[in-house]
Amino acid sequence: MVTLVKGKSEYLFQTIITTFLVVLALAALLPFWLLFMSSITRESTLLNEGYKFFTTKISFYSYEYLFVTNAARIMRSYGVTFFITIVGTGISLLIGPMLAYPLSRDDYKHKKFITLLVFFTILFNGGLVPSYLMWTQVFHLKNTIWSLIFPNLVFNGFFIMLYKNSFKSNIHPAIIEAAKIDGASEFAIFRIIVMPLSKPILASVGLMTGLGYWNDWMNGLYYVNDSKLFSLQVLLNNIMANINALSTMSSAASQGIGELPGTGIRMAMAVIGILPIMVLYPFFQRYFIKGISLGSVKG
Amino acid sequence: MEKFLRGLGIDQGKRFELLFLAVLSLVFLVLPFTTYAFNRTTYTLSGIESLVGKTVLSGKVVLEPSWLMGFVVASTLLVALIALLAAKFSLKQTGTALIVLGLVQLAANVLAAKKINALLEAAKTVKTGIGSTLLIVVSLVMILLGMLILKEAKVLSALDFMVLPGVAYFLINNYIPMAGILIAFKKIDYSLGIFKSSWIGFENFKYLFTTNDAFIITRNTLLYNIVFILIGNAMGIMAAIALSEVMSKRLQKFFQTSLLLPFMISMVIVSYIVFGFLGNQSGWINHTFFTEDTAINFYQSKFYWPFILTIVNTWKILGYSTIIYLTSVIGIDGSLYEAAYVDGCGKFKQITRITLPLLKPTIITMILIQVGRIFYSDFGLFYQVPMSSGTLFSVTQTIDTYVYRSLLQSNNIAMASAAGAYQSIVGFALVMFVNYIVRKMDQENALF
Repeated sequence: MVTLVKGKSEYLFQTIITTFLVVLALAALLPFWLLFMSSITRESTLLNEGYKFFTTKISFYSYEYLFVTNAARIMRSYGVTFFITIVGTGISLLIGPMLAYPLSRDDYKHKKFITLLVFFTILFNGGLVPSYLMWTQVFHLKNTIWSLIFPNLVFNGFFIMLYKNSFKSNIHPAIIEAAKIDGASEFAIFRIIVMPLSKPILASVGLMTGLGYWNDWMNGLYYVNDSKLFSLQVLLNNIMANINALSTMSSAASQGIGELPGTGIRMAMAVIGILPIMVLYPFFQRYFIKGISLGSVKG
Repeated sequence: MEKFLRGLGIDQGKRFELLFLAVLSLVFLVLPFTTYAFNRTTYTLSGIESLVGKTVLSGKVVLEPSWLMGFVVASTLLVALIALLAAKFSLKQTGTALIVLGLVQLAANVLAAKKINALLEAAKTVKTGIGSTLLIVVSLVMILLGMLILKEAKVLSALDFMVLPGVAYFLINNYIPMAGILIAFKKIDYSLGIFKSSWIGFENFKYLFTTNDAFIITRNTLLYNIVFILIGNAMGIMAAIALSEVMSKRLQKFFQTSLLLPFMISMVIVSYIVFGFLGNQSGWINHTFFTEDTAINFYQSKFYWPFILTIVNTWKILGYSTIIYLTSVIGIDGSLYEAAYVDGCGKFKQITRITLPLLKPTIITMILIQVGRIFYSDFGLFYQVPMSSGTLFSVTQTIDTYVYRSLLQSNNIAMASAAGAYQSIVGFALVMFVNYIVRKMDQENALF
């Protein structure tokens, strides 16, 4: 917005919005600070004084416990998380645009029907029960790594619409026509022209998909109870569930976790769960925001 | 591809590649269709034996001649026939027939394998054999070949092949479960399997709605969503307007980055953070504001949860809704504000007279999308954040958590499927209804 002259009310206005935003930013950030501080506070201090925003009794025992004493388990979970994120996002970036590109072409014969098929999935879905029965009884994905990759996460109708709109507005039919005259096949056009020209949208949707995989714990909750296949989030979920089971005295059946980690160690695990996101965030934020604001434009 | 087909002798009026596939299918029938262990010995059952029937497990089980396997053989023979008489058919007919036969063979093969495996229940480690797997591959090749022939006949284009994997994913991941909603009208008996379980009409629903649960989960889902929609959008609009007015680009970026951070993390981590604040022994709130005697046991006290969940939800999604509204605010023509300024409008007046009215379409669209999904709740928020505390169920249970708990924790598939179908159907009706109303009012804002 354009501001011409700073009057008194303008000054008041600036003060109000800045205060408002500072409060919101603090509210957004401080919880992360509490999490981080708890992970580097001495265990005995945590037990006596609880989680605190500031402490002088710093100890890196939690991280030592995770990365030295218990390295095998943590690394395994990290490995599972990395694997599903990379493979899942890879599959998504391959077949998602392949589905969306023909829908962006006006000369595609089955465009209407396939678009409807994609769009309808946004409006209606069968829910958990039939999906669960299908993946476990028909495809036997229970306790396989594929159960963390295929159900729901590869892409959704929404992402396909994002691709489609982007292809439609960024790739001029004349380029495709020219390539065809030069004798390029449809697949070659897709690979050599469409994909390279669509890097921004691929980055946006790829990031959202990747984040979905990194953060996913629901597929793990539904389909995995073999601790070897626990991703980081599933491991965190199981630890929390077990602590909860203990505290309500219902059942202490630990699901392959063994003894429960201490108060600080839990927080350290949560920290390492978000650390890669925090590190990469400044680099991919631009694409992520682009993806969200594109999503606000209806398909 | 055409060259390749021609190389295989297509021009001579016979399709040898199809003949090859048919012969291959027949050969694979000799291979083990099923393997099973009985009395510590491993036995195999070939495709031929599955076709003609056999007495197995020392006479305990008599396999009748399987009509499903008959379909497999019949489709194979038909493919062979088409291969030999290819000259008599058009490309379109050959391709279509091949796809249909491939699908028949695939379905019959899978169903037969399932049926035989079920009959051998008494044996140990019943497994589908290599013969059946290879037959599935042959069926898939048949379907693919049929599609290639249709491409040659210009019925299908290269673009159809391009959409194939994506469409297959949607068919499996989304469309099969849609049909699966019918499970809610069945009395599922695992020993009979899903298909053979008997139809019971609306019994499951009747049962669901006689319990108090149906009311509680509907009420919670709707009320929470209404509050979330109101507060989430109001906060998002305020934050977006405030952000757009920040002079320093750097500061603006900092605020935006901070607000979006909670949106990037999983609900599991959120529940850890919330636990850091609310925990009994070590929570920050209890340690800072209360003594040991006055400490609040949050995870056992219903009163606080409507507020906690609203705060957590707002905290998590604020960055997202802010970005959406910010995009619209930035898009507003700057000259409007200049004109307003010249006419003596202060900042507050500019917001109420220009920004908000111009945001109206975005606000309506956003709210409509959310109202259309009012029957769905954020499973993570309601499952993770209250840490599945049973005491809190009356204020934290929503349709989604209820479906999950019924299905996987109390093994009550009848209630789970009924509640899930209720959600899907009413949810769908709501989207259609909302869209219909909007289209009546203002075509521009309708979703479709």
